[in-house]
Amino acid sequence: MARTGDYRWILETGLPQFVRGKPAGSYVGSAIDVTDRRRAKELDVTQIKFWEMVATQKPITEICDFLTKAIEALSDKALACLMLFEQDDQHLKLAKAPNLAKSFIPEIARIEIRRGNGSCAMAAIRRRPVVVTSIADNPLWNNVKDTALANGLNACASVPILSKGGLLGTFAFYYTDVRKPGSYDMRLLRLSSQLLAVAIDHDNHQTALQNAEQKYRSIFENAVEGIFQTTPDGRFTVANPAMARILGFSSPEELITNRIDIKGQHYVQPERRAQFQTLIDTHGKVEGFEIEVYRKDASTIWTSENVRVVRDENGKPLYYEGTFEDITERKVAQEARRELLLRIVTAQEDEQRRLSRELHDQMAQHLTAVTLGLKSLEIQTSGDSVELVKRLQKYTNKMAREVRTIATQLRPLVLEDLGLDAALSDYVEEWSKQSDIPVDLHCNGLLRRRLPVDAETAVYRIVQEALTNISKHAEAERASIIVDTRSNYVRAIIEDDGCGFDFAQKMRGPARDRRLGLINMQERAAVVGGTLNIESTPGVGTAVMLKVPI
Amino acid sequence: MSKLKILLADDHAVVRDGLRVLINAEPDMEVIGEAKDGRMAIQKIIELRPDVAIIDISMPELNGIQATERIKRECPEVKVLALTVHQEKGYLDQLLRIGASGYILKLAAADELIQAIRSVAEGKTYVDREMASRITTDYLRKHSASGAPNAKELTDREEQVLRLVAHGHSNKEIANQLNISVKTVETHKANFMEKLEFKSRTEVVRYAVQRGWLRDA
Repeated sequence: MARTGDYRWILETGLPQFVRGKPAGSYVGSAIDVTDRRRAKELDVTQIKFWEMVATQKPITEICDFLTKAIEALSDKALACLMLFEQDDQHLKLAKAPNLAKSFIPEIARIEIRRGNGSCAMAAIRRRPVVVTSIADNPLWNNVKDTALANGLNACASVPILSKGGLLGTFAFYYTDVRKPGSYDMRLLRLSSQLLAVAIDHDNHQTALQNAEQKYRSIFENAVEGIFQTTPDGRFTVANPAMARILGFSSPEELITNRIDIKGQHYVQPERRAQFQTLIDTHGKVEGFEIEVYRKDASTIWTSENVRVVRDENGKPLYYEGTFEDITERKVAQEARRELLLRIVTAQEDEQRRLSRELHDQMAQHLTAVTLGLKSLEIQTSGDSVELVKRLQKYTNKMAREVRTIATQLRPLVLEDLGLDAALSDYVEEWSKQSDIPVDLHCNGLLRRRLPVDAETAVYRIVQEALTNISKHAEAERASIIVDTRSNYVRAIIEDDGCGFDFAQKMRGPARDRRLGLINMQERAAVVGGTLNIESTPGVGTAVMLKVPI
Repeated sequence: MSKLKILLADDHAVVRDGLRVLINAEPDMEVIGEAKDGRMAIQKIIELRPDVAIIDISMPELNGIQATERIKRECPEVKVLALTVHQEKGYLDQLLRIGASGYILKLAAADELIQAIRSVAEGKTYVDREMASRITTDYLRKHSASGAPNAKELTDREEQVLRLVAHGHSNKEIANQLNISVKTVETHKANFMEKLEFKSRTEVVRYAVQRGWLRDA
């Protein structure tokens, strides 16, 4: 022991003294102070052990426990104390204090970070080491000095544990004497705080990573949608339980092992696979891709997929990943609705056709007979009756015209008899006269060609609706209609140069009748398996684009 | 002078009655036979060889159009005067194409029938007055419009957009296909419309048809 009270390590070397061959009972030797060398070696061992624990992912409390005890043992009779920062309520919480008095522990279990609450609180505020040589005399301890003194603690040096993210905690040495910590103790404090910063940071990181992974795992395992990864050559590499369940397999493994050819085993229409691949190759992703697929038991379901491609650094697709859901119910409901609508629309058309025929075949003929009879009467009559006959002729004529108009409005027979081209050109001519808007009609591929009656009716009705919209809302100067018939579809475009509108807004907006007009057209197209798009630019005009398969 | 021999074909007896009374009131005309459907009309015409056959378009069995085709094939010298409630031009086109000499509306028959019979009997073509005026207007409109003879050259891009417009693609589809924005498509479209003095998409389609661009759909 040195005079200062420090313990020192001494290495002694000695030689006995001899006088004429006999031991003289005395020794000659040297004593070297090796304290520093020895300490350095112990600190090395501590650090190596510490890094080992971090590297092997020992629990953070175990690491803190080890380091606190080991550093304390290396110190100059200091009592180590590790406090951790609690972000939520801005407190320091006691983590490790292996040798502080039991009675003192509850007093420092939680320390509010504020001036007067001791060295650690101050170190946390300043983010710098705080050394208090006499707790009794230092205002930094004003609020809590009594309990410290009562437990025989008279000095305390504390160092904040800091990382890039901010304060993590404090590491402190308490002393029973009123004293200033030696420079070696200060070195230990600083080193400890750095090591702890690394360990705590690392642990936080690990925890966050684990939480995230657990979260994703849980989503993957418990999702209602199927989640999968497939290879471009058509194998499943990853599938979640929902995916297996939807496809009727008992586990994802069973699915992955058995379904090795997506095009052949999965797709009900294998040619859709090529479409899928073209889409994903050009756009990098595919959304809402609807396909019919086989379940394990060879039954089929409809699914909708969202998939993206993952490529290697050369842009070559590595795999596709995505989600899918079973939309069979929706699909069936949609189809049922479509069929119902088709039945309603057809029934309505049939009824209108019947009425129209009736008017043409019966009413119009009788009216013709009346006009002919009146003509004969006119020739034979003389005197006052001539005027009367002429008046009757006028009325009858008017009536005949009205009957004809009603019949045509119900359903033009020309559509049945001569087809779309003839029916449209008459309707368009009449509309143009009524609305005073010139229309340019161009029918391509319809000469001497008849389309299925449902398709003809749909195109005719949609053109009607579109023209009605134009006369009601568009303030157009002209309109144009193109009907282009190809081998397997007919396309119609009805365009005006009117005021246009914001389509999306219109579908939400309050103009109820107009919205209904647009929806009617879309439904009418959907009923015959067609599509209808509307492209409108305010101030430029509107184009209604219809495509119906035939 | 022998009277004009006329045959009536209409499935409505009341109409035939009215027509017969009216025709027979003319001193130089005579209804020599009647038929209530297309098949019967052909038989009677072959048998009676009238000068003029008045044929209703909508008849049971063979309709008036089919009947007219047969009549013109088997007895080309018989003049066919179509009588109908239909004032759609499509019917008129078709009937004139297959050889009918006249076309009158039942609505106007009381006033125009006799004149129509005389015209077709003389070898002229008679078309209902109201329809004739509609056809004339239509013809004038179609042939006065269209075309800018000194059209300015289109840029390659404009021509590309024009072809796609003619094919019926929407601006959005064109934008996707050419990898340009919808606004750019609209600009190209406005440019070629102005250069070619087009006012509607229909003219674009006709322009493309004339150049044979629509075949490679």
